[in-house]
Amino acid sequence: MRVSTSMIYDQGVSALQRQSAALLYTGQQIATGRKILTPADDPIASARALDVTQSRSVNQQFITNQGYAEDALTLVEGQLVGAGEIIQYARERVLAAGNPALSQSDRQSIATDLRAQFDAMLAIANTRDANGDYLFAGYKSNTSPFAKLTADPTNPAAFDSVRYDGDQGTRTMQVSSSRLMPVSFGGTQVFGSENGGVFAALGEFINALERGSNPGTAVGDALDSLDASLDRVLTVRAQIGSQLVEVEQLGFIGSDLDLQYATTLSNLQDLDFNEAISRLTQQQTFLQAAQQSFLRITGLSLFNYLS
Amino acid sequence: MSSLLNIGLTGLNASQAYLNTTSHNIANAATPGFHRQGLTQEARTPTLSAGLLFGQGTSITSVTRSYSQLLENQVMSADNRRAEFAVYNQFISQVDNLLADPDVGLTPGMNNFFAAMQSVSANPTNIAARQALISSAESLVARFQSIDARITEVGQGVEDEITANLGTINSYAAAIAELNQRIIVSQAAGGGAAANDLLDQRQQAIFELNTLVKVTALPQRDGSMSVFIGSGQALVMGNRAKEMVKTQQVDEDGRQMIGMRGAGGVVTPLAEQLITGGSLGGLLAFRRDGLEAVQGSLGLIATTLATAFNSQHKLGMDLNGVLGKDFFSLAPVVVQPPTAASVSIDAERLGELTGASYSLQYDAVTNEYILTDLATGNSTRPALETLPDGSQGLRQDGLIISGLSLVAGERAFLYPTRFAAGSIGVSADIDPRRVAAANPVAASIVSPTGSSFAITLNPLGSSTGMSLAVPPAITPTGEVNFGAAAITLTENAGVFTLNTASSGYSLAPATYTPSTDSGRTEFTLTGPNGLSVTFKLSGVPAVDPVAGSDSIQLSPNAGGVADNRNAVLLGALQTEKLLYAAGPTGGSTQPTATLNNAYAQLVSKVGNKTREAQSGERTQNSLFEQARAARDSVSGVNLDEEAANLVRYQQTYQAAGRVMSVAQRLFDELLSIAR
Repeated sequence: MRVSTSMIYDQGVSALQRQSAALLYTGQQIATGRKILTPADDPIASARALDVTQSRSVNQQFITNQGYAEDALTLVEGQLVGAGEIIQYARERVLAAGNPALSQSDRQSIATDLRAQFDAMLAIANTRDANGDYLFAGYKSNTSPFAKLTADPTNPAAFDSVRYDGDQGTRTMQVSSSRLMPVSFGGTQVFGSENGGVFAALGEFINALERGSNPGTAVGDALDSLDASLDRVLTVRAQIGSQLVEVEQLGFIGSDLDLQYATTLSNLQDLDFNEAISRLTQQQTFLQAAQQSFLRITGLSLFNYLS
Repeated sequence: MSSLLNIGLTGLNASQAYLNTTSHNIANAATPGFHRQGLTQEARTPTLSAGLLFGQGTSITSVTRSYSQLLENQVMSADNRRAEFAVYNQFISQVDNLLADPDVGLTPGMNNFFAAMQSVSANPTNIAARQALISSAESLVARFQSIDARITEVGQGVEDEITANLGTINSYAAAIAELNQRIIVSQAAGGGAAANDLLDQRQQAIFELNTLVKVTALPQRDGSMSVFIGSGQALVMGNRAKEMVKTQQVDEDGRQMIGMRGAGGVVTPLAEQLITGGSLGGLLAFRRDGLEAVQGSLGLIATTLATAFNSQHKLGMDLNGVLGKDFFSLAPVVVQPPTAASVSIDAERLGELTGASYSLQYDAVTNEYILTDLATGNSTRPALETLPDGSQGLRQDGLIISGLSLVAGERAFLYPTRFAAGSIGVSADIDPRRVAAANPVAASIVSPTGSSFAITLNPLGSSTGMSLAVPPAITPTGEVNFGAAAITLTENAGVFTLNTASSGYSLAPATYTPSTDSGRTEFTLTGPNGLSVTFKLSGVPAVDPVAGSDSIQLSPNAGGVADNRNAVLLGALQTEKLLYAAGPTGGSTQPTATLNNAYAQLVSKVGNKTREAQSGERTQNSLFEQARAARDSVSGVNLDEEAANLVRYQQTYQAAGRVMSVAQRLFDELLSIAR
């Protein structure tokens, strides 16, 4: 084949350009540490990386939410431990008040003690969290859920109780893709029905003691009511306990998943440096060879020998 | 003697001609479009002398150029395709690079926004979390806008490049017309001898023109070359060239047409599919299936996010106890001309929205409207139906088209999503307190005895009738106030009848049987002004006239600031399939992609198109190089060859000179004899 001088230059230059482009591409990969520089390099892996990035972000959000849920549940749990102890203690005092040998002043002092327990219980029922939200108000977290109703002293049948101003709403937290975990408990669920629950029972008993009457059958009623309250508190605590275990397990699964997503992302996007650097060296050698041969070939000319 | 001198002279002249041609070749070794020239030479006609034929030396009969039409055509064809791919690649690479960086694309913005939504869901009363949601929404819409702005900028670059290309095409066309004229004149003057260098110049101009747009060149009898584009639209005829210009006319796809201006200044529009190949063809192809498709898809994601989020947000209640408003704002769908119809997004069939742009026509014969997808050319004839607002219109592809005022033959263009990514914003109504995280309805069981009876409210389907501003002067607009519905229960042999004591409310079904209905059956409470709430019941209600019976209370969720039920549903939109509905034609369709899936699909689509353009450019480039090498092998100058020729013709020149000096000496000898 006949060769023209322009062919020698054109082909030499395009070979140099191809090799420089390949070298530049490898250089960029190494500089960024990324296997895929633009989606055109691997459209499928690029799209997949975006999906995995979102899955990972969602999973990390669940892990954050698990933290929120754990904090919220632990706070409620702490309050319920206090509530349980108060109920236990009140139960002992109610039992003691049933002793027919007690004098009126003894009964009066038990009444004073129980009134303190009533107020302590009310304080727990109106606890707020770090955001200033009432724990046991359901959705109405800006509303103090339990309002004390002091009995009319002139009415012998009246007794101290409370009014529930919260609602039955249960706040939930998304702790995994398929689990909405309840993290708050309405006041009625913990402290009894709309009619006052444990507060009504305790209030009625206290008022009876203070009026000086022998409690008699009221002791039995109060004990029943306190036992029911304790049951409710323990039921909720059991629920919280199992939820805390669940959160912990979800946390393990979540961090496992996070690792898997990170590995997948790395496989999709990250550069194998060993391979890339060896490729860079190879391309560098090729480019140098091309440069040298270009100079050699273009340096040859018959004109060099014409004097 | 004189013949010897003459023969020497012819040899001297021929050698000089060769040396001239060789120098011409050397001088033009790097001239674009130059074809190596050579000479044809023959022995002169012999003369008869003394019965014998004696040679009379040599003569140069013509100057030739090494030219192969076949090889030229191959180079032009490869170069034309190469230029088309190169310009397509040049522009789509800009979009590809824009989407390349995982930290700059849409995904991080979308992830941050939904993470902020989850934070609101975890801490609904926390104003800082609500503010963070609004801030991340603002940065998400800014990301949509900046990507869209960058794509618009690329689009503007395409338009500028089209204008520049047309200008260059016109100057080459004019140059070819002028060269035609010069070639006709010079060949006529030269007695029909080829004007090689002018032919090279014209060939080069056609070659450059062909890089811009695919042309066909046909040689004419008078030596001129006619140049055509598309399917025979003449650009150059003899010494006259037409001009290619942008017209004000719009084609059936709504794009500004390119036309040809003839001698009388009359502009004839050209259909876009006639302008193929070359960089102009590449630009038009990129504008058609690169740019517009990307903008449409990005807009589709923006429209879907805004519409779905707004729909859910409006079902919620904010911290002020007011029903949610639009969270995102979106400019109305662009219709050209705007009076032809009014188009809105069909929130109920959001998944059917396609990201395409359409043309809309009226067929007076069948009284139907024809909706044509501009990208694919597929058309449908959706039936006129009664729209949700009661008027007559069309519901197709996630669009509600009403106020139709097209007459037969008229054409309107609809751009439902193309401009959406540039127009999405956070609504001015939104401040931290107005993020509607709560459900407007509170449901509770009033149980004096503490039974196991429970109620679960279903996610709301509509907020109709929830905000009865009664009296309007007192209640702020939108405050949730639909009264309260108390439902009492009566029992008969394990079957509980639900009675709505409040007037204007009704229930379906009206009985509850715990053994079969518990946690399963859906009850619907219908109230005044279209109010509708569905719920499920579980457990066994206590019906006890003495201790008190259970009752169900459904009421406005006044003060329910810690309620995150709507926030949970808003957050779930991140992983909910909202786009690209697929399913039986005319049947119920199911969306198949989440917002992020749709974005990933867009990235993958752009990536694939770029890859295609890159590999097309590479292939055509190597074809071009092969064709060019084949051509240069025939037509190119080899300097070594020319150096050898220099030596060779120098020697023939010297030899011919020697012949003349011998003749001179012979003549001197003769004279000396005579002396």
